[in-house]
Amino acid sequence: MKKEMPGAKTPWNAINQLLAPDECFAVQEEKQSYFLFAPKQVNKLSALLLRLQDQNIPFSFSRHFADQSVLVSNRALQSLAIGKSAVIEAGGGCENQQIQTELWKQGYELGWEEELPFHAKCRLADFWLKGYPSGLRLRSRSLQDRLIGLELATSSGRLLHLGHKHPSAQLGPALHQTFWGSQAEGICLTKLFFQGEFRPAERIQLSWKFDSLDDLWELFSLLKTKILSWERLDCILSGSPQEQQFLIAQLSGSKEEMAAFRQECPKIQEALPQYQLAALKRYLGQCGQAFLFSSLSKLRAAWQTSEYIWYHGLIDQGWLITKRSLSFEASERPRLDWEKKMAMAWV
Amino acid sequence: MDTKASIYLLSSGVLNQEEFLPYRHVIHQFYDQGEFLSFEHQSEMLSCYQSDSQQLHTRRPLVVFKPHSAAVIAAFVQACCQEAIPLAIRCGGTGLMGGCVPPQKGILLLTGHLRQILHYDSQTGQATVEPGITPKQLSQRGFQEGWECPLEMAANGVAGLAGCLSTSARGYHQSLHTLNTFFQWVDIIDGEGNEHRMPARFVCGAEGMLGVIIRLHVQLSRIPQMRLEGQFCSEWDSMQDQWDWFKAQSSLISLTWDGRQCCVVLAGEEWRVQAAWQQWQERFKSIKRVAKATNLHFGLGVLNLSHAVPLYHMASLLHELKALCETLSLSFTFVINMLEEALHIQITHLKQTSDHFLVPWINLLEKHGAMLISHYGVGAVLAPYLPPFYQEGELACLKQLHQAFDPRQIMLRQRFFPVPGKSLEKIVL
Repeated sequence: MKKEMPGAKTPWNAINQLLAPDECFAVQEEKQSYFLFAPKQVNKLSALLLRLQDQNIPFSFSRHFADQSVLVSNRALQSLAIGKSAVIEAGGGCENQQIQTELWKQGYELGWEEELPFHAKCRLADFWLKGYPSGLRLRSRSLQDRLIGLELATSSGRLLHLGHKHPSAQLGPALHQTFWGSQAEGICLTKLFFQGEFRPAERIQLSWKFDSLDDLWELFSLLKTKILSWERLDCILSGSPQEQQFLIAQLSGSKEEMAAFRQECPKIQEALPQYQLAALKRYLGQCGQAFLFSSLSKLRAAWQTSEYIWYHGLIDQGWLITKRSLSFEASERPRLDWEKKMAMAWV
Repeated sequence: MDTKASIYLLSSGVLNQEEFLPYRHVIHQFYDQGEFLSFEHQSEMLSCYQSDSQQLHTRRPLVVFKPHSAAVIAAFVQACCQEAIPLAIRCGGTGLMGGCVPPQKGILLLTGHLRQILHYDSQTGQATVEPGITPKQLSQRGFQEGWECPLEMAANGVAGLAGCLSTSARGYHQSLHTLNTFFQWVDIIDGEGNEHRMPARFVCGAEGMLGVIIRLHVQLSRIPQMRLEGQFCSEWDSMQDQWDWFKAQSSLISLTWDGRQCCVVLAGEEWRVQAAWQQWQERFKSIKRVAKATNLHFGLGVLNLSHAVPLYHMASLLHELKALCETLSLSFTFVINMLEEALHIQITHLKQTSDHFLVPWINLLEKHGAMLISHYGVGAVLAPYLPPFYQEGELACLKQLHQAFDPRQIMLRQRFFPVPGKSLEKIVL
């Protein structure tokens, strides 16, 4: 069990003087203990990193470290501002719920959907570096497409701003796009800038359930070819033939457009009265761990009875939910040469 | 060499025999794997490659190499790297920013003639293509199965896709998102001759900094069930007042305004577009459907610039642009992409150097919180004017990235990177 004690006194005076009690923690876990530094301002983060460097104190930005006794976290960087033109500035420590609540109040949306409950508490920066794909596409754009700039701190304390705060501003290569899924270890994302969307006048969310996979795929193919502006078209499949299969879909537009859609959508009368997304996520959260696969064919190849597939039809990627411990190759891969070269830009 | 337009560029001259020796080595090594042009071989053809579609910057190349196939390129780059010969890449040559103006010394590598479709999946609309293939060719290929290339440009039949990606080129009414969804992966040859497959968005706008594109993996778009174009007259204040409504229109793919006339393009499912069109007709009584809604007409011999401008600064910036052009006896046309908050201008009657316009114009942009954007790349035209819009940290990262992919810096030498700070002063020879 993990215990975090604020106001920790570290062996380093320079650090003790810099950080406030609610920024400096002693963490006790089952097998290890370490210091956690979580400054609340970016300039303090930069100063902290400089001092750690000056004093040759090894540290890490990630929890997956071996010997480092210091973890530097961006979790306290939770500023959130929504400017004109629906540009959203979110601190790297923001949580999904925080962002969604504020966007909802102001009439915007971003399309940051947390995946299955396994990542429910993932902060924005961590989510970004992990780069888990989502089946949600607002106006055909993924969350990655919406990033227009970011700020980061390197391990030497250097603060960088990449990209711009204007939706169409690009000059030269888009360096800010290189971090999605990079799992970069030597940098700390402090702020991300997104181009948000105005919330639509109306959104339709539909769920169907099926006794057979064939019926599900038949409707899936029909929906995918007949309607091209889905925001979501996911299939939740059970490996057990006794269980039901689900298809969930979502799209939006003006009231007039949605009225027209209701006339056009195949089998809309057979949709369930309640949207099943949340319930399915809750259920699957209890069924095991999720592993990402790059295509439906690969998912099916790995699929066993008593396991589930959450398939994102718009991107042909999905998750296998299983109680098995899958091998490294199933869910991770070594860094490619170009990724190593990209990482050199931040050294 | 034509000197009247080349205001920044040194005369290339001819290298002496000793300096040309490495070039001879490379020519000798690859003479049967492509065609070479130089002052020794078909020199009269060199001027064909001295500029792209802009005429402000020209330079006759020293040597041009047109490989027989893309398979040659890796070895060729490696040879150039070993001989420390600078390389520039030219695809379709339709750029507006001097992106493929040859370097003072070095070889101009052509890729625009490599136009094969290597693989095409009619079910998914995915294709693997060579760098010189054009949007028009791809659209023609996918038409029967209901696919199209989403890029809409004046040079659709000539512009090579590798060049489009490298310069983030697209129609002035289109967004970067169009490029991000269309271009999936690229295979590039880096500055040492090594091949990498990487996401296309990392190469978008890089203008050859990371390497030579030899293959592109693209995702065609479904031809929309319905596409509807319309025009109506409107004043700026009215357009600005309805901006929220515009942004909420899901079938609106383009909305441009040229000071008087607004062009609208709706596309998507028929049921959606028809419902949307009714709303537009109710809101804008004067709107009429047209076959092709176009504000800006591409023209040669003009200075084309694109800018990101906050919407609330647009009117005042245009006012200042008008005053500046009147002072300098220039004419201009403009179009605003409302969805992207981008301002595109064409300056004509530019008899003097573009500095006379660009220097004060950059100052005005800074004053209004606007910036130049590489809608058609940076190239030789914009490179000297980048400093106000780049932070030093970002520039340092770019240089490190370039160094990682091109340690001997044979690509993009002396062109892309601006000098940090506000160095708009130049030495004109």
